[in-house]
Amino acid sequence: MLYERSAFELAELLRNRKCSAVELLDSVKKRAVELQPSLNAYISFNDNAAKAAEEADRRLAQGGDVPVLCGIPVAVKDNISVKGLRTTCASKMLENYVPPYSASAVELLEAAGAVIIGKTNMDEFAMGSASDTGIFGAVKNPVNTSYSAGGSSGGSAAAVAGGAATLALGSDTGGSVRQPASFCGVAGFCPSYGAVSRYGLIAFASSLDRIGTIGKNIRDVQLLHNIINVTDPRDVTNNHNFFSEHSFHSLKGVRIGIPEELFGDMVSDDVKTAVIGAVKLMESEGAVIHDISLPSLSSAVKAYYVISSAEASSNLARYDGVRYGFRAEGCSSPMEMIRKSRTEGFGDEVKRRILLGTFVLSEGCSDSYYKRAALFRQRLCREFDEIFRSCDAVVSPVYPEAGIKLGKGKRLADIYSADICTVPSSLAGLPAVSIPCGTASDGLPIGLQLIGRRYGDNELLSIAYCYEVAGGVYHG
Amino acid sequence: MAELECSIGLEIHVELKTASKIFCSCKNEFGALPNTNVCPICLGLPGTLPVLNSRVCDFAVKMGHALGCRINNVSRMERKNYFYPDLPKAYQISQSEIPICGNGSLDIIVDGEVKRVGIDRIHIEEDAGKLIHDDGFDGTLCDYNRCGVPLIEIVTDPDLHSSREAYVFLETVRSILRYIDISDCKMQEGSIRCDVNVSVHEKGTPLGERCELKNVNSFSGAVRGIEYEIKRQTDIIASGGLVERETRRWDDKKGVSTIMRSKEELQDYRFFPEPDLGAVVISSERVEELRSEIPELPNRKMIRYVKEHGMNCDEAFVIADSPDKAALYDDCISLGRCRPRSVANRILGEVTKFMNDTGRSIADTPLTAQALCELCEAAENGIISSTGAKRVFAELVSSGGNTADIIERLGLAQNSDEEFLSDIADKVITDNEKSVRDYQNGKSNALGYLVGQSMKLSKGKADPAKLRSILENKLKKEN
Amino acid sequence: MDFDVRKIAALAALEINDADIPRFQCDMEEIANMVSELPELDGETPIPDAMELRSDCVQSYPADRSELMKNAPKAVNGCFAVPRTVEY
Repeated sequence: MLYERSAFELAELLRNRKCSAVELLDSVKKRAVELQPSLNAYISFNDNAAKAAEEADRRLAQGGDVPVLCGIPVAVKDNISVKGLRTTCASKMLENYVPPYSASAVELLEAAGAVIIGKTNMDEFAMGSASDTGIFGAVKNPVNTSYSAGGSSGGSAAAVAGGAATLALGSDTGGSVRQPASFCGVAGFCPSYGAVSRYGLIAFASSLDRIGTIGKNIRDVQLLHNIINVTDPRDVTNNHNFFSEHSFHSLKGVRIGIPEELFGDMVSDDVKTAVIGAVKLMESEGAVIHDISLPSLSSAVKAYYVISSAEASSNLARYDGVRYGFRAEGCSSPMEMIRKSRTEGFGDEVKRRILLGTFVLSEGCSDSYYKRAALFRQRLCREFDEIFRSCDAVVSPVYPEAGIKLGKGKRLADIYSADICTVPSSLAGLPAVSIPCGTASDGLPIGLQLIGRRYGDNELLSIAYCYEVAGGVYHG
Repeated sequence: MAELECSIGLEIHVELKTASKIFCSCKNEFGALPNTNVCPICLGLPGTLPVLNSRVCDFAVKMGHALGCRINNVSRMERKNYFYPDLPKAYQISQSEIPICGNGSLDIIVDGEVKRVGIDRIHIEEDAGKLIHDDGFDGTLCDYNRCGVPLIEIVTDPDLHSSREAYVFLETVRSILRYIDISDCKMQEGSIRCDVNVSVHEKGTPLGERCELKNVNSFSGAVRGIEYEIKRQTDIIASGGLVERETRRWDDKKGVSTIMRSKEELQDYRFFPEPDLGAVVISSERVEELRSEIPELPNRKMIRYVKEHGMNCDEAFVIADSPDKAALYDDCISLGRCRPRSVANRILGEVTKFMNDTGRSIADTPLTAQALCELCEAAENGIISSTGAKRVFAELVSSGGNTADIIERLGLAQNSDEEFLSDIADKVITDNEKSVRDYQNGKSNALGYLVGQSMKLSKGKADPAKLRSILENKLKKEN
Repeated sequence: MDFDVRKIAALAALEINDADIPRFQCDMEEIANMVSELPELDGETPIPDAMELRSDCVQSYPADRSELMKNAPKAVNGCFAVPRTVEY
């Protein structure tokens, strides 16, 4: 079936007119609709998708220099603005919000002839680890629907894993692309901070937010990333001055660092076994394995929650019911309206993050929370710089567990602490990718995380690709 | 009770006259239809990002130079968080820890005395929108055209000690802003607004708690607000009370301030570095380039005019405040052909009247400093009468030319030849025996009649002052 | 860990009703505890990298007012309408 194929294969088929964009969309859309009741991967479908597919077919028929993604169905996480298409962030606050403009990444996709199939489900404002904090309900794992697809880009990962989209955009603030990709058994790439323009990505934590790509394999995520990896003057934190084009062609001599701190007791045996197995495979392919230590990792989760919540408390302050979004009825003053709209429009997890962020910035707390976290972040960056003098990539699990069972209550602090593997590279702005590397005893996929040096996105993806070819779990 | 002193600090917000807004490309324009100069960025739509306008930095640095500030080559934008319907993002992008301009000072001249006022900082920030109350609608309407209009905020040290000093300071700042051409300074459009901090305390003791007055929309309002606040705090202290730190709203119509926020309710703005923007870096070369664009400023000119040219403060202000008049004055002085006083009088008189009447600037007319000097000279030497001088001036501003030629062409030369005047005087004395007698009998106004008759006889060309003194001398001798 | 939910909620323009206070109190203390005691490091809050500035050019937004106000919960006379302000 067409929906099962990778973007790379489909691009070939489309170019050789072995299938049309319209046929491909039909196949993927049918699959998406079929899976929707069980996975809940989508929040809305794009009514203009068919028209975009027809247009792609016209471009393909004309031939010439057609962009590689022309005609490929791509799902977009529902916190990335698409002009004229409801963009909700899975929040009651934005339930009826229709952006009057498109994100830069979306404009680039459309210009490349990609077909936006729909908007994917997620945690409310991307805050969560199981795509279960939004108003549209949890996203289920295609491998086992009693498990979460992960979060916050659970809808994007589940859609790609299930064949409900060929590729998908997600957003990654502290692991939100990598972790659901790992849970669903697909590849998820979080590029260097500054690679992809954030213009139009609805902000959670500006200094951490990145638009990432999800696909069946490394080549697919790279195809999609290449389209959106463009300098954009609308985002001044987007910076293409320092990127390196260097890449590896085999694992021979590639120096891999293994941080002891990320293989501790909190990591389940299944995950440890799978990741260590992957490291062994790399070694057998000629990679040089180094044991390394990043002493600051122990505080990374704290710093991450302080900084991300501080920024979130400010970024989400604009939802006041005045210009767009949910407005509470029957208020007699603007301030009452603002308070009531926010109170009724946000869910509990979002409120907790806002409260935490407000607290760590408040008078008397800012120095011991926000400022310390910012200084700590700087130190962590230096530790990583040091590591990358003697390593080309750092390998770790993506998440301590293979999956999260839906509906199982957990302590908040435990949920937050489980982000330990993904937040360090988020804080340091480093590129990181999640690739399937094995399966847990209960059949859930397990992902491997590779972290690269800042602006060495190409190099990192080349290492991941070499691993995949060498015998990692490979789709298509 | 010990003598009380009041210390006043000002926070002056100035809208800059850039073409576009501070963080987006919308037009920076006053008076457009509501919400027509807006875009997703200044409306704070989800997902939008700011991009800083370079001219805003240039303008801030220029003001920094004008106020003798240290310029920070690297400064940082921060978010000031608070909720209000006129603030679309619910934070204002501003500067806090590292502003673009640090410490400086400004010399002002108050009642003939030069006074130095410390400047704490100048920072850049965005303006908020406007709330409109429309009788036809039971609610508040939000117009976001003003959102993102660039502002500088000038913060002074608490170095001002009276409403008069504050007023002069504000006038001086306004004058400087116009000199360096970075703001329209239209008070009625709200392009300059200020918050006033007042603290009354015993002389020689540290500052007490200060009160901040908001909603001060004019300089005269600032004067009234300060005086009200001084009285209020003095009364509290006199009755043995303690002044509490608070924010008060000034109602200029009613002439009273009312409490907005008490000490307990003071806002916590939760400043933190704006993560959507990088550091604001301005090169030393650019800083120097901007310094070279700063002319001699009106406060310096005023001090010079008062201290060196003997003008009073009001006269000095009228000339120094107008770049046009000051340039003309200074050019005339540097030519050194006439007395500063006569040039000053011409500028305070004819030039000011011309500019007020026509709304034109002198630079738009063919009048040159050279010609004005010649005009002053001719008047000083009695070559033309004061009426003649006005006619020459009118000719110079409308058609230009050479002063001597105009006097010649219009036949305005005033005869001050002693012999000619003496002959006329003799004839008038002979022909008006009665008036001569009257004058000699003590009716001094008879002299005026005799001068008039002499002028008539000279067909208006005689120098009336000289003629008068000749007549006087002759009448004394005859007595 | 002192976490005054009411005070912080007021700063964040959120209303937590009395029934929910104990739950949030408990959650927030747990989270605030988790993030507390970050290592004490010397120095000032780091300054970010330099950014590119925009030149002062006007480029009016192509869409008209109604397009930008389509999401407004309430619009009157080309303005976003809210209940009457009493405070300022």
